[in-house]
Amino acid sequence: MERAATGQAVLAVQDLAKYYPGTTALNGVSLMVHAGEVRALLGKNGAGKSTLVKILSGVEQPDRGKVLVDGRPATLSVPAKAREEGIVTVHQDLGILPDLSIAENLFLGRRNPLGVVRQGTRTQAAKRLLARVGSDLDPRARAGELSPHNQQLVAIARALGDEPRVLILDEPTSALHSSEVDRLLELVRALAAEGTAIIYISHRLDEIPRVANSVTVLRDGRHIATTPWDETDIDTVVAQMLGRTLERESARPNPTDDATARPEALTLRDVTTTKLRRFNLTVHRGEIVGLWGMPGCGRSEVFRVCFGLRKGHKGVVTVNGEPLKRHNPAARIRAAMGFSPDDRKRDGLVSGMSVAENLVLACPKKVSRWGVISPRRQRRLAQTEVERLGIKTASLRVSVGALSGGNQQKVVVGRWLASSSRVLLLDEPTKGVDVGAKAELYRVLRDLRESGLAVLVAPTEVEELFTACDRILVMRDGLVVLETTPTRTTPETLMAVAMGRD
Amino acid sequence: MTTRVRDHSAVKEGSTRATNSSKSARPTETVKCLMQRIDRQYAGLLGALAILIVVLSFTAPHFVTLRNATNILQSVSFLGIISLGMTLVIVAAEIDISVGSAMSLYSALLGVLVTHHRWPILAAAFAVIALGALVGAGAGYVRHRFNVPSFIVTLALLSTLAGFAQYLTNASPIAITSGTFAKLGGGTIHDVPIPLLFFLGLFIVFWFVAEKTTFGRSVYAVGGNAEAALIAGLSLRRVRILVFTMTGLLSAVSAILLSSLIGSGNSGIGTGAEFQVIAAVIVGGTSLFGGRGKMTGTLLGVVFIGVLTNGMVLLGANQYLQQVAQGLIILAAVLVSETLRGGGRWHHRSRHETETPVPNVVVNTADA
Repeated sequence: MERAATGQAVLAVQDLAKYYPGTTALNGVSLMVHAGEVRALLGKNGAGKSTLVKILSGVEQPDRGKVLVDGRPATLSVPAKAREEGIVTVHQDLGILPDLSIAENLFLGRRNPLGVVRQGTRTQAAKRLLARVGSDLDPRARAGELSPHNQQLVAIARALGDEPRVLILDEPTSALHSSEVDRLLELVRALAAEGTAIIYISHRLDEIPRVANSVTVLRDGRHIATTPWDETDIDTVVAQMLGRTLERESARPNPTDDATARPEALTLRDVTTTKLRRFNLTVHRGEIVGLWGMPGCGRSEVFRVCFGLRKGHKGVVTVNGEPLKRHNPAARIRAAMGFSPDDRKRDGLVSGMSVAENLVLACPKKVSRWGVISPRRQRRLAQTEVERLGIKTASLRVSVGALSGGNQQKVVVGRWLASSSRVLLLDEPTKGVDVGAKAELYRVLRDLRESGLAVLVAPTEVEELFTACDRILVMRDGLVVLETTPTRTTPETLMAVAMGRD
Repeated sequence: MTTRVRDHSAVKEGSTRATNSSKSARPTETVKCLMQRIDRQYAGLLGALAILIVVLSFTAPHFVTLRNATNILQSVSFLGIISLGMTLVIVAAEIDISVGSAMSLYSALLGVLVTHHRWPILAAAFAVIALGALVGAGAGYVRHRFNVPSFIVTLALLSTLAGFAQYLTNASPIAITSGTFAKLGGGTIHDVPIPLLFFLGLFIVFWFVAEKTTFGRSVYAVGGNAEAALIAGLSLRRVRILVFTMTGLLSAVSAILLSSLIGSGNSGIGTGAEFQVIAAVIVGGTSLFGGRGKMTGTLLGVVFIGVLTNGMVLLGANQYLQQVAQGLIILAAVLVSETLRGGGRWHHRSRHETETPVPNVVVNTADA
């Protein structure tokens, strides 16, 4: 640890910039990491963390700036090159091939002069690598049968096989139980003590002081601060991550009317799955409830259970007073629910179809008679939603894939309004949506609240909870850990609670 | 239509039409407008078909005769009927490679029922069609319920049905002697071959189903993005079972017509039919990845393959080389229409292929 601030930096990032069409992902970021140092890299969604990691691991090329390893400029044209330069990344998804043995995974893609693999030598080499992460797993075991913790160890062992000067760990603890987290953090410290520079990315703020010497905060693609951990604390770091909080929107939620006094629209009672533990939730008619939590907290699982996409859960889902027995989306739609999934391109829209066809997709009965589509009814229904939501499209017949992200999102929401949903589930409805469209979407939701629409929304940005929600629930590890209202809390508090402060 | 034409000329005004008088320009604008309505995606196929016809009319004897045209249209009808169902199957991001074997079995079964068991032809025909629908529904059910790729399900079916057909007939044809029955496949009404009437009638039905009904739309949605279709409350099971029911049913219809033409129940009748049927659908512009494709495209694809086969026969090409040429020309046709459409589809749509996991192939792209 003493070595941390002395000597030449192992990794020096200088003025790195990366632009995507319409956004600046990184805007002149510079930082240095020394041998033996564990550097926590923090930032909220879209701050530039993942772009930085992609550039360092050779997945993306920067538009400006350079990267030095041990003082020499490093070429990071492809991932293999980055590994040769000594920058090795363990990505969150690990890249373990489940059908191969541990040993095969460890030496995957390694060049082999003759293309012939000697079982014995490889097993021995695999054992040596596993020993470095303190594991005595049998290298011949199938990787797919390992626990998440052991898979994480295998992924780190594979990274060590590349003899990294800089090791990047992206959310290494997101799939682990707390006892396993302790062991992993210990391992990270031990690896740093051997002289590796480590960049550690995590959403769990409580881990950071236990493993990191220093912390770098990014925001909006910029480097905000790099501070030794002794000189900062969680509140400071959260404030740096959020920046100057946006002036609170004037649109305060329903101050005069207590929505919780109205009938319940959606309730979950003691819902238990692999990711949720006796989870309870209530949304009333005419109420917008915000669900906040870090990735992996079980937020998406709540939506999947609500919409009948998660089979085999325990507990009861009730909609408008009726406990639901059948768990599939069609039954949920019959109960007047609608769901906008977080990945709308993958799960929400049929990109080959037109705007109108996508808008009426969930209510075929409304636009047809005896199974035959009435173009007139379709047009009228689609036109209503296009106007209500302000969807900007050249015509109803344009392919939905041609719309901007914000307008695509409006199409998904419009689909549920078209099918007269009374309970709307919105998982990250504003992901990749520009500021104007975002504000408009929330305006429409607030308007619809008057007519009794119940909304459960998980926003991408913590600030969004303050523009639209009547009530806020903060989740961590499959549980609601805080229930509050926008008037009684701050973005800083919500962020800190979600990241592990009690 | 008139407003459309006016819109168009307004846009083009000052450039192309500046020198033309408005009278002469109007028809060309109408043609342009018509061309756009036909859809750019068929330009390649129509072009290829036109070239093929021009070349054949100069090289192949008796190609440009009414008789030959009728002949082509009659002979494509049998497989054309199945390709209508196959279009829906492929639009739903599925595949059915069992249609040839299915034809063989239903032809054989028809012979056995009518000739050996003395069933009335109508009863036997309905029984065979019902069985075809049932077997197809079964295939769709297995595909959905056990999440087995439809290629595997229908591969198994291909072998099973073909084997059963041979077993029933001992691999020899069973003559069906009935004058009225023979007319079904070989007769004409006002010089139009009866199988062609079946094909065109079914084409209209399937075009309507694909374009105008909620079921048709759900086929496109499920094939285009199964996850999104599921979340929109559409029934993947219903779509999957019904599309295979259709190929099964149409295989039986086609088998009955073809048995009538050759006057027997024949367990070899459908050999290789799956190739021609799938080729016609793909040549017609339907995406193997699902979600895209039109009945009109399939109609053109069927005619294209019919003309190609006919031309080679007239040219007296060696029948084995005919197969070689057919394969290559089909590949060329698909490549041309892909290029004209802007290409790239095979890459950026591959994500939506199916939700069935693809076997892991160990390729380390990172080291490439």
